[in-house]
Amino acid sequence: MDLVSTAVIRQRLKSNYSIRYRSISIDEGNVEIIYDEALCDVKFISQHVIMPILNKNKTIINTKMVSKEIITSASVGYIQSNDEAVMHILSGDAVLIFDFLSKAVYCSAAGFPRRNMDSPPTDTVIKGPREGFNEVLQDNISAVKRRLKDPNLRFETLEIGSKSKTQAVIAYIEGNAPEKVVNYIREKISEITADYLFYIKGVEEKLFAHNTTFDTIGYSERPDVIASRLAEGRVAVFLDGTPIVITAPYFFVENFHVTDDYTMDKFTSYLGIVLRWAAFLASVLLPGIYISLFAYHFNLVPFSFIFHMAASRAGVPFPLIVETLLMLTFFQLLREGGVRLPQPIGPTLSIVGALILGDAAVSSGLTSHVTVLVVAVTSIASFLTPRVSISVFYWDVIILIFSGLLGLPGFYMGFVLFVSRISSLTSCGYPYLYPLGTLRTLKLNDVIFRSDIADISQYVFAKDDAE
Amino acid sequence: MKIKMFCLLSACVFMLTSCYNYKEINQEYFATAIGIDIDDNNNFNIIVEAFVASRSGEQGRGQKQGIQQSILFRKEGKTLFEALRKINMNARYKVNYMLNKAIIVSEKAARQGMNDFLDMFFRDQEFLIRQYIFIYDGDIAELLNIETKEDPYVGIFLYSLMMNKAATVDTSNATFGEFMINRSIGSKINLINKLYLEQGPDIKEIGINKLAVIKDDKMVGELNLEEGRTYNLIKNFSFTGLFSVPHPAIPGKLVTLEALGSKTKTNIYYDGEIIHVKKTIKANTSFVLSEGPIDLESKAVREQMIAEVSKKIVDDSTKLFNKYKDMEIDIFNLKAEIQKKYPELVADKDFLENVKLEVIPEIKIEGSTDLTNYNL
Repeated sequence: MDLVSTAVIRQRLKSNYSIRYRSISIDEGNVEIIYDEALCDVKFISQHVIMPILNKNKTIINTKMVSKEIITSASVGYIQSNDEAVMHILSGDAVLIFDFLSKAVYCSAAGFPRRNMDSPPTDTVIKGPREGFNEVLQDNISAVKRRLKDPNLRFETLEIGSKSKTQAVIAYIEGNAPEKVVNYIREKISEITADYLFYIKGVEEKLFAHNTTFDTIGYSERPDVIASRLAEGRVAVFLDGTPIVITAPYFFVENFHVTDDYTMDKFTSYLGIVLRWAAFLASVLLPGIYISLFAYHFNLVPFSFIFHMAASRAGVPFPLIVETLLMLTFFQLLREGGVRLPQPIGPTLSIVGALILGDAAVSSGLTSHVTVLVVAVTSIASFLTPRVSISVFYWDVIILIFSGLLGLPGFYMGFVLFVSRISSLTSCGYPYLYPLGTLRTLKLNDVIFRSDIADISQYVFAKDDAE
Repeated sequence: MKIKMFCLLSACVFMLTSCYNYKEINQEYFATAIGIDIDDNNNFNIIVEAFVASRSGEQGRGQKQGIQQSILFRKEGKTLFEALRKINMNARYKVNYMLNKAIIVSEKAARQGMNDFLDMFFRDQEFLIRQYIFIYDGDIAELLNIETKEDPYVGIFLYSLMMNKAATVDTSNATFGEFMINRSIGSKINLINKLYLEQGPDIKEIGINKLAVIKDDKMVGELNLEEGRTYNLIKNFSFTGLFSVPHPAIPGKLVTLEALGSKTKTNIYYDGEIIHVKKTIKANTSFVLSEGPIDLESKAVREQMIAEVSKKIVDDSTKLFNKYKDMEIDIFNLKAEIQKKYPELVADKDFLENVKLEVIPEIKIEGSTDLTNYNL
């Protein structure tokens, strides 16, 4: 009895417009070639599968002979069930069913349109490589492999989604990456029970240890970044169909680093990192300090500024805290609108929002100049660390409410809560604030000031395993 | 744990708010100067100059920016606090004294004694100690009502005046906090700047022309600015003023040296009868003006100038000390210094009889950039 039946496959793949069935009659019998035209390179099938079968000068006696002597495709294998055959067809392989042989054969013939590996728009660099991931798993892995010719580099394949059969790859360098992190990630991914998985967020959420707005799992669209993180000892997860590759563990301090910190001279990167830290602190704390000082502790502000502020707020109908919350919300509306609108319109909205709305808000008596300035500075500062900008907004509101209730003591309470929250987060078992606030030897030599490239951290987790 | 944390935070919210009240900045009037006078019935007359922000009245301009203006409030009361409270009765918003810059006391009130009301400024949390105190012999309302060229608020103008080192080199630079400290140590002597108001080429101008001597919170005398300079030198307030002395070669002409800074060391010893208070004044000076040709390279000329300046300092300080000694006033508050070494010697009310002030000036003329070793 045939293990693979054309009739069964036809039944299983009915109403599937791109599936092609090509029958060839040869001396030994009929050969049915089934492939998905949308996923396969038709020219390749003609040249390397159909033509060799038609032009053969030997009699086919078994599938082994087909794979070894006739088909010239690089990847050939045997199929022993209808399920297997369907899976291969849907993965872009050509399946050959011989009515005179019991087993079927598949050969790789994938060929579908793929995006160029262009520089990712969300992570541009001035002096670094211009390559970015695309949606094809093989291309992405190849881009990383070209950068890491380490024989210990491992790529473990997993299948996620019981129906979507999405391929995921866990990448790490054996010896550099802590075993416990690899096991943790492997275990967590295997726990995913979804039928379909389209975005890597599904994996990321499984790896999160906490409900938080902070990214405790890193991501990048750049092969150079992923390669360097793998070299440090982190673990990366690739998912077919997405250009985003996630890495774990991911630490808070990494929010303040960009690729250019390692491609430009170290003095430029000093400035960049210090600016990002300062901007982050300003964006989290500025609204709270503003409310504390201007609603409670006037005596801590230079009198000339107080006078200007009072004149600026004369006639504003809302309390300062309501006014600030209102403006922060306006800004979030603008941000969301700018992000969702198509690219050519987005910048126009930003300009309209920034110039017109701010001025109109002041003219209409809804807010004061200083509040617009404070919210604008807060918002611009939050753009320097875009990965935490949403977290910054949430904490702005929390600290703002505390400051509005208690003045500076409330502001301190809000700040302590904020620091406590970050301190309590973990990423794959490592403290999120690592190496800040830990007693471990500081191995990340680029927390605030980047050292020379030769001296910066190479194996971040190596000693921890030995401990 | 979360419930405990919530309870703790809630407790803080409700328990700490008594000290800190939410205030809307545009719903406060900020006092910039307080004038204090007393009438014949010993009632307090209070004049408060306040900053007031209000909506722009211009049509068609939208809100944009409110108007800043100065408003004077005037009230009477049996006590200072009562008068200040009355001000709020006809003010749209509460007057806030947190940013007050100047307390102006009438000479009449100062001579009668200030201890009735100074306590309130020190005790009340709203008044800060970094404001300045002045005395004015005249109508305080008129003083606070004039338009200064530089600032619409007289209180702010006076504060800026005190920040201007060139304007206050011969005056007292003590803040209200320092004044309050001095009123409780040693002989309890304080100097307060006296304001004057006079017609300038354009509008009326305010300035400091004298210093009131305050003893036990009562005004007991006045110093002119030259005496103020001597006072600052003796009291080790880094002096950066001018010394004008006779020209070493041309009679009737003057030369001027500018002090770049001074430091005064005090050495006290008691010989059994007399308490010797030795004040060594080290001052670096720079030659700034001569009313005729002068040979600065001549050591004799330089020494003569130094001798003249030294003589002037000694004469002025001795004269000032003795003038007030005769009035039984320890003008330099030497009691506070002697007390540290010989507390038993100043216990007597008449201790000043036994005090001898010795002033030793050590003046140095610094050279210019192209002339070094000037003092060799």
